Amino acid sequence: MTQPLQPPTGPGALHDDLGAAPAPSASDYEVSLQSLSQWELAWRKFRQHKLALIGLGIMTVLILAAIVGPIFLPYAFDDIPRVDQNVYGGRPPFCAVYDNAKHVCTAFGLVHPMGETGGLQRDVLTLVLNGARVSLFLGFTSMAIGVIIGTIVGAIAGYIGGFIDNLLMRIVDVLLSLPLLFVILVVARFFQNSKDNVWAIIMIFGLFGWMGVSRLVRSLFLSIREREFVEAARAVGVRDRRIIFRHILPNALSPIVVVASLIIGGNIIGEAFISFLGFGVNPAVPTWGNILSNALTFILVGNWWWPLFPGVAIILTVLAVNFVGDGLRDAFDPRSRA
Amino acid sequence: MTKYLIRRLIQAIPVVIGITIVTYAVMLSAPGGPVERFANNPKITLAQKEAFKKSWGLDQPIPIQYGRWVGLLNPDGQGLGQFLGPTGWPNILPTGISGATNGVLHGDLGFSLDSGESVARRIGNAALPTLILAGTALLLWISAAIVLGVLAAVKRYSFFDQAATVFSYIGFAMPTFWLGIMLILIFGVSLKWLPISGMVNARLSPAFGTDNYWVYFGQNPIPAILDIAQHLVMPVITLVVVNIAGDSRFVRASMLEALSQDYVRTARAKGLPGRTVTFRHALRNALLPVVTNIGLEIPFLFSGALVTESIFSWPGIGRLTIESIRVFDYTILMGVFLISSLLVVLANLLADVLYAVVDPRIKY
Repeated sequence: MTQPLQPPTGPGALHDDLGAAPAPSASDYEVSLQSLSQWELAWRKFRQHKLALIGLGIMTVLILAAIVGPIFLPYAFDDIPRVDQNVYGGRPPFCAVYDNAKHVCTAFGLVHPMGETGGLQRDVLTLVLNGARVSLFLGFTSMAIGVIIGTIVGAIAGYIGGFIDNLLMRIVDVLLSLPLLFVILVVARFFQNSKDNVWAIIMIFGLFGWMGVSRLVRSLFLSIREREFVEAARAVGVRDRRIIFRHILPNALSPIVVVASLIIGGNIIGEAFISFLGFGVNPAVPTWGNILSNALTFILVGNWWWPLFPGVAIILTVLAVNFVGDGLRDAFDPRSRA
Repeated sequence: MTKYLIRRLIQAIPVVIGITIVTYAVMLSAPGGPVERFANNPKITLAQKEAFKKSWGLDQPIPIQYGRWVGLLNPDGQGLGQFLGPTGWPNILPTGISGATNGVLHGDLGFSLDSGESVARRIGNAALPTLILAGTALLLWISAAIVLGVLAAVKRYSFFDQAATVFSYIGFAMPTFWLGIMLILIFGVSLKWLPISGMVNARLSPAFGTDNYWVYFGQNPIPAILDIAQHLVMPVITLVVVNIAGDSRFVRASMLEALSQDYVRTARAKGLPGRTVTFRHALRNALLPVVTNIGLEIPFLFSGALVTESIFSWPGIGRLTIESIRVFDYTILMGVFLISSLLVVLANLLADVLYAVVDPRIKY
């Protein structure tokens, strides 16, 4: 059964990327009557980017572990300390019996694979996985807020132009000239005393993280606005809103997705940073930054496992999203050949 | 060029005004305002809070407070007379004409809400330690980034290049403060090689920056410098490792582009030795964008390393800022914000100018 030749559909179909075709494989020489959408082409190329696939794998494992892990772990992150075996500085990984007097581990076993914290003696693995829930959620949500605001502002500035464009871009200039981390710290300090301030922190990162996106979207809109297909749409009387959302935005989407993936990593590090300084998420809520911040209070005991694992979790996450971002950039860039 | 510079300076004015407004707005939008600092002190009565507000002029409407802070309004005036300085000329004019000394425009950043010292003094005291730390780190990471980037580009896809790539990926992903903690754990706590906090050894010398310290410094300069150098090692390593990543990638990309240019091929075709081509032809051109990039990093010398300073208790601007945030010391914060924002604006301008200076093809 043959299918009739269809006009290309889907985002980006109007400028079909002949140059973006992946390296030919055997199946490519078969005559296919169905044209691939830009996203299908991008996925083909993304699959060939080894690091990006690894990043995607790490991301998936981390998200699954964050969702499922805390359900199966034997401890809760806010377990009360077991007074019967008081170990001041906590126990190293896989240590079953700890000699308090000599500060050495006398027997190893399959307990606390990431060790135990000092003071309240909490299981570090439990903390890290519970922290992953908050930190990952925060990274993704604040990215979404920032990207939405940035896209709207950039689209308005780029599409309307003139005075509005000038005004919006001067506002962006001002915000980018400010020492943003300082400002974020000051604003976060206002919410420090509220009990559940995760959303406040998410909003802060969203509201201070859109400027780069808006500059990018503006420049994309400025150039796409002048293309023939937009002119054609305008000529047949398509309304502005439809031109923005149906004609220009889909063509601007791929660079936005790339930048968005990089913002996630930045926001996760940013959260860890302000929580570490004590201005972030309420210390009772486990986030990677809070765990590190608590670890610092016991640093002189020398329990390396406590700060090590949350830090490794941050590095892995940020590495993963950056790899995915690189893969997406290559996949969407019609000039790069996989 | 002059015309371009003047245009850019004029364009920067609304940005700078915007910066002062945003700075002021952020500070005053605190729930509870500047008296929030007394929120956790039950001994302070409402009347005392009001008296505090009145004595600091915080009971005035916000635009008037802003006007006084900027130096547009005379705090001693009444009504429209506020616009006039002590000599009867408008308050906004330079001190020589108007006699006014208040406000940012006259170089007065106000007084610290917390300690009552002049803001300029507090910032001035913290600026030197930051300059020492940030300057050392900046010099080291830029030179290291150039060496690494050039080597990686010349030996593209070699083992070294791959290793540098991995290293910079990890450097990008690593939180500064985490590296600081791990360094403290390894070199400070376990090996006990290096001091873990501060700028000078408190047992040997007076606190850095005090008059006594400079007397001590004058008497034994060499141990004093060695002491500071010892305290510098870990914070500098932290900053260098984290920041080298981006810059070395930048140098590598720039060098790769230079190496693929026609003039490099021409030079090779002429039979010049590879080393000459790499260093005389390619490197000199590859460094042009790097130079402007360095221009953009200048504000770092002031605003420095917020976290690194607070982990290692380095008495610089970063730590001053964090302490001030903790106690809601707005006047200090506004001073720090203003200076660092101005530096960003100036650095952007400088980078553009530098670009035109080093690259004669660019005309404004």
